[in-house]
Amino acid sequence: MNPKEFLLHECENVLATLQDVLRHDYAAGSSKEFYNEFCERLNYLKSLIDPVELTDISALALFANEVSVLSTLVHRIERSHAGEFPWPFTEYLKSLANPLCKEHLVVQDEDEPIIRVYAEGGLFSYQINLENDLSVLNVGRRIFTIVFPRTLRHHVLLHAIFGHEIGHAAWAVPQHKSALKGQVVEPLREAGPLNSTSQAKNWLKQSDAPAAIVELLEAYPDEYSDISPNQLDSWFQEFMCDLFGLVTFGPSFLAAHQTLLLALDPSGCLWGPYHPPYVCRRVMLWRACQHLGWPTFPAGIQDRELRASCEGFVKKYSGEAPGKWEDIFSQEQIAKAVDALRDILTKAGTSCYLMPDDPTLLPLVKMLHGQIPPCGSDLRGSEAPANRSVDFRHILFAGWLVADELSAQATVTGEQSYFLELNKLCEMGLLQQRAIDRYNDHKAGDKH
Amino acid sequence: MSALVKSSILKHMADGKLVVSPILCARQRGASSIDLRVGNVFLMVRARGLSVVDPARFAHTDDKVGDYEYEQARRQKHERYEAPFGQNFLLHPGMLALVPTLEWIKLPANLQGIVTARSSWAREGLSIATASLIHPGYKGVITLELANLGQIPLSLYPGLRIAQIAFHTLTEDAAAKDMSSRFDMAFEPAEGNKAHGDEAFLPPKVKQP
Repeated sequence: MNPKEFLLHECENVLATLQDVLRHDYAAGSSKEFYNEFCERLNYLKSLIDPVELTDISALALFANEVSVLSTLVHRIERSHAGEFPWPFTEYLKSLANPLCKEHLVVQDEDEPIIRVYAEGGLFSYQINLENDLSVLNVGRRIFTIVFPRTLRHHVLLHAIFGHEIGHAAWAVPQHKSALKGQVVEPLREAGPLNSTSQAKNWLKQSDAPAAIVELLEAYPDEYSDISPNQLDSWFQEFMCDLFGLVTFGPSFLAAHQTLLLALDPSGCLWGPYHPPYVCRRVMLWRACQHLGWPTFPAGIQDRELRASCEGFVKKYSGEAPGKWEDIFSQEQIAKAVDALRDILTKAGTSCYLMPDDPTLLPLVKMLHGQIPPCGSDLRGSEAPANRSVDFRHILFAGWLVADELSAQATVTGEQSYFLELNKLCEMGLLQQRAIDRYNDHKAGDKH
Repeated sequence: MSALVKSSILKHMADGKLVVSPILCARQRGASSIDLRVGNVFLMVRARGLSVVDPARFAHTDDKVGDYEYEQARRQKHERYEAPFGQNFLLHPGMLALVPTLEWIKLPANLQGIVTARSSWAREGLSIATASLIHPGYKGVITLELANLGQIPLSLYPGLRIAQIAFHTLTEDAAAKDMSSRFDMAFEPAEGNKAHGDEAFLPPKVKQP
């Protein structure tokens, strides 16, 4: 079998695997769209491989890579059992990502991406896998795969971190990338210690750097003392995605961000080729919260207990004034970037997070205290129930407010099971909210 | 002990003692009951290689997490299926599936719940609750044991009203120590320990090689 014959043979194998996927019960949506898109790509790829001469080594190598990409993708989809991730949350996530990821492709005018979801092992497997290169198989819709950590199946509070991942997804869409780069990243890059690689290197060695940084540079001078231009580009994409998460998911993003990133690096000072130190990201978010006016939000709350709870939250996640070394952006830079980001999101049709009022937040928190899934359900025993539409992000915020209260108690009792139960209550709340919205939308449709 | 009529049910809810959440429409409340909707998880009983209901496999484990026999016995006999709204689930003739309600229930210490089928579904051969008493103080979803006694598949969609719950007052409040159950705070169906308290009648546990 020569390379060309093998590639055609492998196309058939990939098709057989795709058909095997249909043996399983999937309930993650878009199955038919995915199947059709995939078949279209396979057929197109075969039509490209068919006329290739065996001597055209570069074309064969390119197509081998394409077949391999399709094989990887179908395997991921085969594993996307709906029971391995919280689909009500996923549906809400899609509603945020879809308008943003609409794009003008060659064949179709504008289409939403096909979003598939699966679970992966590993505590930090949150990601959105992007199809960046549509050069060869640019025949239809882009396919995004969203990856949840399998073991955190019920942890919807932590899933607010997906706000960051949607940022990466938007970055892959050409019409947003230029706007994000020009209007969000550029203001961040125009001043400060990360303005250039040479300044960045000096910044690492500043005398006021945290002790963990100094120790790191002393212990691993070869690995850590240099910052390349590519590294800086990646870091700024991360900063942009953090702002993205904050603006789209609100306070629950702050809490999820801190919980997950500090678990990964308790010092908050490590960095890598793609990720800047957490301490800098946290300070940037602190400044963004200041700009959005969130630290003053609790003052407007009438209910005394809820106000105390919100004050505790703000203090824990965005209340501390920054140290000098990690404060790498000015308030003006952050304001410019956040405002531009909100503008881009609004124009794309993705809703930015707005802080809730008392009548919205208080019932959700009370429901959680009473071990009832938080949603817009009317619990008053009214003759005609008046269930409310509640933004799913408020449910997550309420969940984090209560989590922090229970966390303080758990420190005393040592009992940690509250967090799973709280997440399950919020997950159930999201499911029930979808039912409420679905019913109310249907009723409104009937009236019209 | 007497059954609550609608006005009493609403009063208990207004007082915050009784919770059935969410109730999507007024039609969901009958003269003396509240309709319950299908949730989105289906645990289908499947005859697989190691599926068996043998109380002896639960005996002497004391619900110990991580006990191999206990966990295997629990998990081998069910296949879990999750369906979003708008997607159906087929309950074939002779099939048994455990399904949670969409509603979250909280009962006070002086009320007991009785779950039964809605007559429109019962007429199609759907049997719903073989264990229909919900004890006072319970909180969580209710597990419906669905069996298709007819000859044709039944197509079920999450959100459909298929069961109903009525409430009976008790002669006095149940004691707090009697109200706890391993099914409390249930978010989805789980099977019970059929050996607990009856170990005297089961063979001693033999260590598997």
